[in-house]
Amino acid sequence: MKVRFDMAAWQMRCWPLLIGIWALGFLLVPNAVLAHKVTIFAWVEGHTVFTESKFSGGRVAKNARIEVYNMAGDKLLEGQTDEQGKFVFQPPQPEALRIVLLAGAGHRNEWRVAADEFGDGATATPTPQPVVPAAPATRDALSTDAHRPDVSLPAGELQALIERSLDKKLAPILHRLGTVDTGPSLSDIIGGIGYILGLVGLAAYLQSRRKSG
Amino acid sequence: MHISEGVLSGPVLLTGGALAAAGTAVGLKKLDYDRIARAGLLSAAFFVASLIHVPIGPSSVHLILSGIVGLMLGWGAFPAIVVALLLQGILFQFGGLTTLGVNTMIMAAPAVICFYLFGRLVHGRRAVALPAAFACGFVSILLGAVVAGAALMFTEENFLEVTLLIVTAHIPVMVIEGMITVFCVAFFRRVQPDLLPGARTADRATLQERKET
Repeated sequence: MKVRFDMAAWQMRCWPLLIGIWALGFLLVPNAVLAHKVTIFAWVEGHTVFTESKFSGGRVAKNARIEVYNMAGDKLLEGQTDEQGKFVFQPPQPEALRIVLLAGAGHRNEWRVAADEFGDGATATPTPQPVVPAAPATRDALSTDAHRPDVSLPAGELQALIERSLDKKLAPILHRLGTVDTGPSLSDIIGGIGYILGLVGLAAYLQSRRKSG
Repeated sequence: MHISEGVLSGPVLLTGGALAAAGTAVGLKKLDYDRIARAGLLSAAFFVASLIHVPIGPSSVHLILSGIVGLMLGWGAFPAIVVALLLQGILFQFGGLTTLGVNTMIMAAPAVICFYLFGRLVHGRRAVALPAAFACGFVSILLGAVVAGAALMFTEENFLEVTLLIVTAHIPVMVIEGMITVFCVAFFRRVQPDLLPGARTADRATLQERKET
């Protein structure tokens, strides 16, 4: 009997405190988002791989170790992120890559780059240099409308041109994708609390059965 | 303080898992009827606290609340923290499923140790109780950093270096957790001293023992 009374009194008095803690959590969530997850994001432009690493919460992962592996598991190269959490490298071959970020103290994450993210020639020839000198000429030809019908580009060159301009246009979008932080949503938080309260109910039920049974 | 998936070696993960399972078993055994609701509420508070980002210091850290959880639950901290960590892993991608055991040891073991170190002191004179409460919050994080360093020393070369890194990163959190614990203890001393470990709970335990014999 006494125990029951204590329970009730305790609940009455502690609810404000606990609700206060929760409310504090909710208030801080939108501003601070969250901490303690490290993410790496990589995208390919031509044959160069750009990576950006940061902790969730927006803080960049400075001077963190990066290791690049191929799909066979061989380490191709390693390096360190700079002051902006960036690391840029050119893989020896355009192939599927696994980029592992080790930000110290148990923080680790990885990002996979698929082979087809590398532009044309990725599968055929790893050296795209013949395309480069042709670029200004074709651009000029395109900009002067009068000559348009005369322009006939070799298929490979046209494709390379498209790839390059797409890379240029998409770079900011890809960059933005990397900076968008999808932290836990409110439904995740409420769902988690709901789970815990559900478990409390289950435990209390089992205990009460044991008591009466 | 959550260690990510894929950082630790198999034996470390297994050891952590086994110890955490044992701790959880003890905790569940000690979790009697009137402590279930308390454990659930503290588990929920722990779950949400990880979203409160502390933007001070060199790295990315968040509140943990292991001190107050240990103080209020004793061994019950194990089941409360394991549930919260599991949900954080699933919903927030903090830590991971394979590292659940190790992460439980990082946060629940210090909670139980702090319960034994400071549990009795918080019932004493105010001049003793409040510093003890601060130390409880502070030391729980400090010990957590030491356990994390011990887990990481098998993969990251140097125990002292890693531990120092984690400790320095968590100094602001230690101070804040100390203050939160002081606030909670002061609050409970005023409204419901029964909830704190110490005098009256001990009386109740001895009464029960006498009843049983």
